[in-house]
Amino acid sequence: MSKYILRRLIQTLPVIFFMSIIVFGLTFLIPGDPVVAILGPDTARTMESLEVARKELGLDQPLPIQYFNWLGKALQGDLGRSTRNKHPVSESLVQRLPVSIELAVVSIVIAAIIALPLGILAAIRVNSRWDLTASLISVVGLAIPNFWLGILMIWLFAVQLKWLPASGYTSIFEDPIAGLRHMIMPALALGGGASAGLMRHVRSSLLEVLRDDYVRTARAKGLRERRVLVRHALKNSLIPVVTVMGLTLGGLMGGSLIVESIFLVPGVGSLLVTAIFHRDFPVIQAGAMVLAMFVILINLGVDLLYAFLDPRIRYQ
Amino acid sequence: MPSSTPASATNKAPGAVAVVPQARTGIWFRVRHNRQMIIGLVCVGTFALLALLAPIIAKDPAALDLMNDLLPPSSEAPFGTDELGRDQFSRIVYGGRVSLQVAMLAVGIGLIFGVPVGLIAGFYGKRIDNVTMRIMDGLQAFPAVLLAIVIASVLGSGLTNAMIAIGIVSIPGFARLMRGQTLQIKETDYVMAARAVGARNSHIIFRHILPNGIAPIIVAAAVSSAGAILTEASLSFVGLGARPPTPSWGGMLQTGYPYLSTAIWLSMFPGVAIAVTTLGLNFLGDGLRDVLDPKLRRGRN
Repeated sequence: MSKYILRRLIQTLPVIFFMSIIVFGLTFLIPGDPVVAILGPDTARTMESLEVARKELGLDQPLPIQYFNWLGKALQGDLGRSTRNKHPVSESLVQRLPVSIELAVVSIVIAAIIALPLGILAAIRVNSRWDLTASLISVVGLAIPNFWLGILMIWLFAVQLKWLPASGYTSIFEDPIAGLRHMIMPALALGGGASAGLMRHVRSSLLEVLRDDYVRTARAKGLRERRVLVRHALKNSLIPVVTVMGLTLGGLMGGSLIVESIFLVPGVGSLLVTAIFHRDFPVIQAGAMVLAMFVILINLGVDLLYAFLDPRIRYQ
Repeated sequence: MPSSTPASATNKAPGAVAVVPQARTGIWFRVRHNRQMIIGLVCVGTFALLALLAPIIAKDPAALDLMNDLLPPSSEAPFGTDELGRDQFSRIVYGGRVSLQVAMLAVGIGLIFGVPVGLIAGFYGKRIDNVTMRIMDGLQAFPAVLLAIVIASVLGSGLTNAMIAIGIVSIPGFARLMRGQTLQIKETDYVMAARAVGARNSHIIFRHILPNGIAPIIVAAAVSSAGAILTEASLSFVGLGARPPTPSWGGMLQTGYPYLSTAIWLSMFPGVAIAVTTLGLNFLGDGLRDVLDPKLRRGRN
């Protein structure tokens, strides 16, 4: 196992490298002078002051050196300053990342709560009414934009029924009830959409396992269907589902941008959207990198978990 | 499908038998008898037709009428009017033009770059494969919506930039798929045979690998257009898509959002339009999968 972990860690490095190059390269896609983009549009600009700033920021250096300077600073936690309020970007990220992670975790739990029973039911009763209902839900779920789902929920649960607060955030750890009341709608908006894809995977994975020889053997031994299902089929079919859940969790980080800003959740997503409205490039750059980093780490964790659950993977 | 075949086959000369299955397994037969395909075609076709006929059936989507703002749906304005008194039905019809345009051009960008990258990486292998696929890994490390939003925000708002951003994000998916196809087809007997008679690489790539490996790409293109429409809606919602007054479904949701408690129709109809189009494209993709590869279908059931 340790050999596998090492190999997997080494495989992750080039992905992080190319990801960081993409993030670094974003600065050069900005139309106009990168110095202006980094300092913000309000900075007084004379030709001389721009040249001084260019030297200070190291933008007069060759590109590879610029990249390694930037990377070195990033690794030390210096991600630049917001052009809007001059706050160090890393501070805002440290403050906001836990909120986004909390939202993502609650969302994936909700997605699993919806997807597992429906997917399992659909697989056990293939081509039944349950199967049809489940596939209908998943097809519709895949087509609905998550932020629209969020808007509709706000209208129904906050405006019409007045059951839940329309927006805002309270930490679940400080006040569990208020925290959940704030979290439930954004998490449903994100997790509801994610459950659609997950459900399909649960169904197809279980269907595949149910055709396997060892399930037939278990049935031939005279085991009760319930036991065959729980002990033999489900246990094995859920292993690939773990991978899909990891990928889904990563995808949620993308959806969190708009859902967080609709529900005014103070996470990385809403930080990014605010930065986009103000063309605050250092924040956009750092926020994108942190979210991508998070996704890469999740994928790594999922792969390791997968190898732990299914030893065959380690030896391939 | 079964009933008539055996009876009619026995009455005919042995040579004619082959004709019957041909008529019943041809691609149009399969299209007509695929329910998903038909639902998909109807959903997408409706919006395509509306978009095409927009100047005839819709009013000017930018015509302001401040006396009649925020009117609920009526016979005069079937989907109501927005905060500036513009007819929402007309805006949705014209917004369909934007969405379909984005879907086609963004997926086009993904295909134009992704397919050759996948072909070259898969065919030549070794270092080229390694480097290009790691770059694709790097691109895929970002959640698609996030990367599209970031690229679009850097390029600046506007429809063209949004399409470029969504297109770039869809490149790795196509590249990966085409690479997998190439790796598989490269090892088939007919490619070996072509090599044995001295066919050039370009001949093998264009005459053998591309035509035989394209079916899953077509399916993926349909599904990606659905994704492109969703992503464009997200971009427009954060103000990075089509610039006003050009109507786009995501943008309409954004401007309608502040009126949620008083004018729910502003938040309802554009969302329905997005959902129906995306649903249709997903169905179309599923249907195409069955139609283009009947083997897959049999394996699945």
